[in-house]
Amino acid sequence: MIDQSASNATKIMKKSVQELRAGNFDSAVTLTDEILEQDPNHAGANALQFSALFKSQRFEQARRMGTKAAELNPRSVFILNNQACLQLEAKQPAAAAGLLKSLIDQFGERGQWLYNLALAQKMVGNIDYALTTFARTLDFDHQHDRAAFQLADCLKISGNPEQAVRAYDFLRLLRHKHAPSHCNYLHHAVINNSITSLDLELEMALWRDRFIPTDRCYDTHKVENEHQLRIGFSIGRLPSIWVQSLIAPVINTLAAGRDSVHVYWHDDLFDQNLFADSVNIKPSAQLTDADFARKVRADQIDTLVDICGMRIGARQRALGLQVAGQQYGWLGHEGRYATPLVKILEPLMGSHCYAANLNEIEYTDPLPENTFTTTGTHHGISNETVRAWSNILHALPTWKIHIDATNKLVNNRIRELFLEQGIEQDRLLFLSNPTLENGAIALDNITENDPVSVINALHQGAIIVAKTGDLFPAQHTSKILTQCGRKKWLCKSTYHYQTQAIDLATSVGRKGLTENEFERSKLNDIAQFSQHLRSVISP
Amino acid sequence: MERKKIEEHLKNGEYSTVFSELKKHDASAWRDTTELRCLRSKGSAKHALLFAQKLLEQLQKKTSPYGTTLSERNHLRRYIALVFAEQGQASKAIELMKSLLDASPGIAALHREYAFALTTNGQFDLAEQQLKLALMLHPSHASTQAQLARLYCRSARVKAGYDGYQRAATLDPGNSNYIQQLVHWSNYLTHTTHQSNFQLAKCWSSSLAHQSSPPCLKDIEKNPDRPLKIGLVSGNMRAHASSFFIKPLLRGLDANDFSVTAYHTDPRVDAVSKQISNLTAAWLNCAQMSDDKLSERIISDKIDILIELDGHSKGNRLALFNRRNAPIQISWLGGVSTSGLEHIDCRITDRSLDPIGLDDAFYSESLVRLQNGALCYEPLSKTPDVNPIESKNIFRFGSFNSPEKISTLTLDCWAAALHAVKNSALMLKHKQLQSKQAQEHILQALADRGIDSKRVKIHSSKQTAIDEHLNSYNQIDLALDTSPFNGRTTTFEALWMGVPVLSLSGHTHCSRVTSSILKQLNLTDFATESIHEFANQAQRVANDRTSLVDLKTKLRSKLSNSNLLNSNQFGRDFGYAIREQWRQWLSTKSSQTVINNDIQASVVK
Repeated sequence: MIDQSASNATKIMKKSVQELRAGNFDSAVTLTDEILEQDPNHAGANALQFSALFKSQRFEQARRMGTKAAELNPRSVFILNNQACLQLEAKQPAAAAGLLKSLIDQFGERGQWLYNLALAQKMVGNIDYALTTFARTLDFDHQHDRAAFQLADCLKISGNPEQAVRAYDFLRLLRHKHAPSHCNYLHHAVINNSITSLDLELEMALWRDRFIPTDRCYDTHKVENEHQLRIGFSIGRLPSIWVQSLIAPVINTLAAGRDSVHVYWHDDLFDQNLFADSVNIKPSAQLTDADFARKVRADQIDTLVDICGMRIGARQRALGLQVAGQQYGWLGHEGRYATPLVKILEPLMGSHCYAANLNEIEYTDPLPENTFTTTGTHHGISNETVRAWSNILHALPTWKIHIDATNKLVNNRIRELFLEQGIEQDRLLFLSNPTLENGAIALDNITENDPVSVINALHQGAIIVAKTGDLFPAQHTSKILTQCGRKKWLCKSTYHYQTQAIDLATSVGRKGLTENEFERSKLNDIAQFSQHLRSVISP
Repeated sequence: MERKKIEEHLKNGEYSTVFSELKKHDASAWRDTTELRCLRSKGSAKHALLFAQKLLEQLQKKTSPYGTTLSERNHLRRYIALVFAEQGQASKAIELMKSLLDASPGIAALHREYAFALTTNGQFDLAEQQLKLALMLHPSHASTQAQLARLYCRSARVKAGYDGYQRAATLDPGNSNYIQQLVHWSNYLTHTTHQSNFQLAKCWSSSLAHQSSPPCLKDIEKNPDRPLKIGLVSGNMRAHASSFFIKPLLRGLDANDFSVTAYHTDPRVDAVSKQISNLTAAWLNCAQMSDDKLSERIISDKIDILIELDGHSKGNRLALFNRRNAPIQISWLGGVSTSGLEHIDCRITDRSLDPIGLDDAFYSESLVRLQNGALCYEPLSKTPDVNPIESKNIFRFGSFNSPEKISTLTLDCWAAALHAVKNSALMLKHKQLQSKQAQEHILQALADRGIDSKRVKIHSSKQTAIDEHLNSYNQIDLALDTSPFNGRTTTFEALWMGVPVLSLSGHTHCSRVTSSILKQLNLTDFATESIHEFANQAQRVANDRTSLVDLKTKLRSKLSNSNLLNSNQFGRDFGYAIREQWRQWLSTKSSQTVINNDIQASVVK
């Protein structure tokens, strides 16, 4: 009798293994239930059902089953790994890391375990360790595209922008048909000045050729009422300070008028509180490009303003289908779109390109004497910028520099970069939004400008040392300086930038904008700016 | 046979079938075009050229034995032009292609082929324009992207070139050549790490077709001390920079211990090839041999240790090493980073180039470090004397490295040196600097760093005699190295001509080459660690002319007396290292083979 039931169980086990392998997880669970009814401590059936539950993403049930399965199968690496994955899924990365570490210590390194361990470390916030472990994962399996993505992300987070660009570049080699991977690379290459404008043009042409269907395109619909537009804003992952100071105030102002304003938000990090009730918020991070296109069409949007470009949440494919009657790119783009169906707003807006709401910004202690402040440094700085700033500091041994980066990892990396250029740590200050005196000198990030911090510095009377780059992210400051009548502050080259900073530092009686001059520049006049923008996008 | 079938045969490389089937068809434009294409694909250069000339004459004199439409004539002209471009008749090809393009400017392929003809004629800037036009018309053409990338690289814009190869690789992921180009060019980029390079190299090796290793390990005499048969595989055993390092190795290896066979994989054979061939036991021109054929030959030659000398550089045969052709396979000289191949067992290097324990994990090979350096140089037998032409007013920096190596980091270093030494100038010399794009790029980049273009002199004459070239070193006071891809032969040439080289060391093998050389000459001050230090050292040297003159007069003898020119010492070190590999192989690999054979035997039973 016992023999018969044992042979029965073996048969069922065989069948359920087949079902599991074939991806029929429910069937595998049902079959193993049959065995477990007879023998609740059947090690194999417990293990198998745990795997089936895990693979079918029934995490809660799997979690309940995991401990027992692990007890009955103490040397099953699959169970231990799956348990770690469950802990990751339950946002318990520290426990998962411990489990994976012991798994690796016991059984040696394997690509997937290393990846999971790195992921756990990243979730814990141990980015340095995660970086090493993602890299190690790639040593085991160089085609592990998720590890390649995470590696690039960690490099970005930890203030290694150039290496992040290379890592994103490698990722698109692995995911050569994956449009978002190409977007990621392009965005990071542009903000780090790692691509020429001509190559960007080629890349965009290539992107269009590969990822935008040419045989399908919506017809433009007729605008019902020019005075009551249906305006859509498509927002991707942007610096939060941009949304807070540059974008939300404008959208709220427009929504207060007669237009119907819709915000399509493509990022998980969504802050609805920034917007007025009159704005129709439509979180759309989970929508496919096709669904997003259908949604915009259904909302009968007359004018769609894209504030994303190639950033996370890019909707270039949808824009290529002409989802709205008029399509514009504003602020968040790379200076070019893959599709010619998007017009860039900045050149159309003439000299009135920027306005920021600075009311929310709080200032701390005054900036110490003989200290440069900097703009556009929240997320780290390129080597090019560090080199220029180091040269300035070498020429002015008594001066220091304040960098407005708050992330500890980024700060450490910045310290390392300066040290490589022979600048000691004690010459770097990491303050939180210090108060500036009129005439303070602000060194602008050469490769990626930040309009908010530049306008903020101007508002406090700082003199900006800046140069125009070839690519759009390095052109914000020059446009802002033109808008406030200080085009003469712009430098022609990196060398000019350095000499300008040195000359300013050694001069006396420096003067930035007066309050009146700042008011006249309209850099903080959201109402006028919104009106101007509305008139430009009017059909 | 139908035309379609003949086209298929052509595509499959069954040329004799194509020729015989074409004969059965009546004369037509299609038949002639197909025959010409077949001759091209087959590699019958002479016949293709003669046939192309005949066809062109027929077209010009309108004596074709058949009627043709304009489209057929243009199609034929296109292939005639391609044959001309390939066979060194670039001006004829250019003329033909230009007329075709004038008639149909909207065809991307014509722009691409025109660019090819312009490139063969040395008109790189015009070629670049044409390729950009081709890409605007057809952005997804991988080969055009790669062609443009190549032009970017050779004209000092390696980053843009790398991006171009990346685009080509993503468009045509099955083409391992594009990935290999990425591996190669990544070494020239400022932010490359061993790790990122390793990833690419593995990506490349996995893109190669799987090769089963032939049973070459049988019948090997397992004697640790017997004379060993060494095979060198390279396309650079000719008038090429690598030859300055290959010759001393061959001179230094004990002929009683090692018998060397040279497998020369480039069709160009010259006087230097002859010299190298005289130093080897056997010489084989194998440019036309496929990897399979060459592998068979190496195995039949019973080579014990096969050494590849070209790494991932142009014309390499690294894919040949994706299988086991000899018991031990080694990489040396040309490979500045890992091959990524599991069948290359080790790589010859030294402690300066690859410090112990630092990046060993990022090589697929094990690193074998020679005691006295991994490079030994042999200068030409006749070289100009060290005879510096004094210049009291201006301090003259110089760099004769290829523009490919002029990275943003290099430009930063040079600009810093020029700023540090107020009354100084920079002389750049290389034939590839003929490209106006390259010149403009360099001058603009230096101008952006505050260097007036008047302070930079660019010499770009097509080809200068070696004497004249070396003599140019007498016109410079201090040579500035490139980084992260250091000069190697250029560094040796400068030192031989009595010009010290100022270098910035980095984190990769190729960024430590010059510092490795300088360390052996006790010139560690010239191997700097940061741009700031680089500039300071330039200033120190410029301010102390007496010491500089003294160093210049002594440098050649210093080099001559060092291990860097001691071929006997190098040969001994190298021989010892590879003998050691042989012994290790005998003790481990051969025993594994025995075990494997036993297992196989038991399975058969």
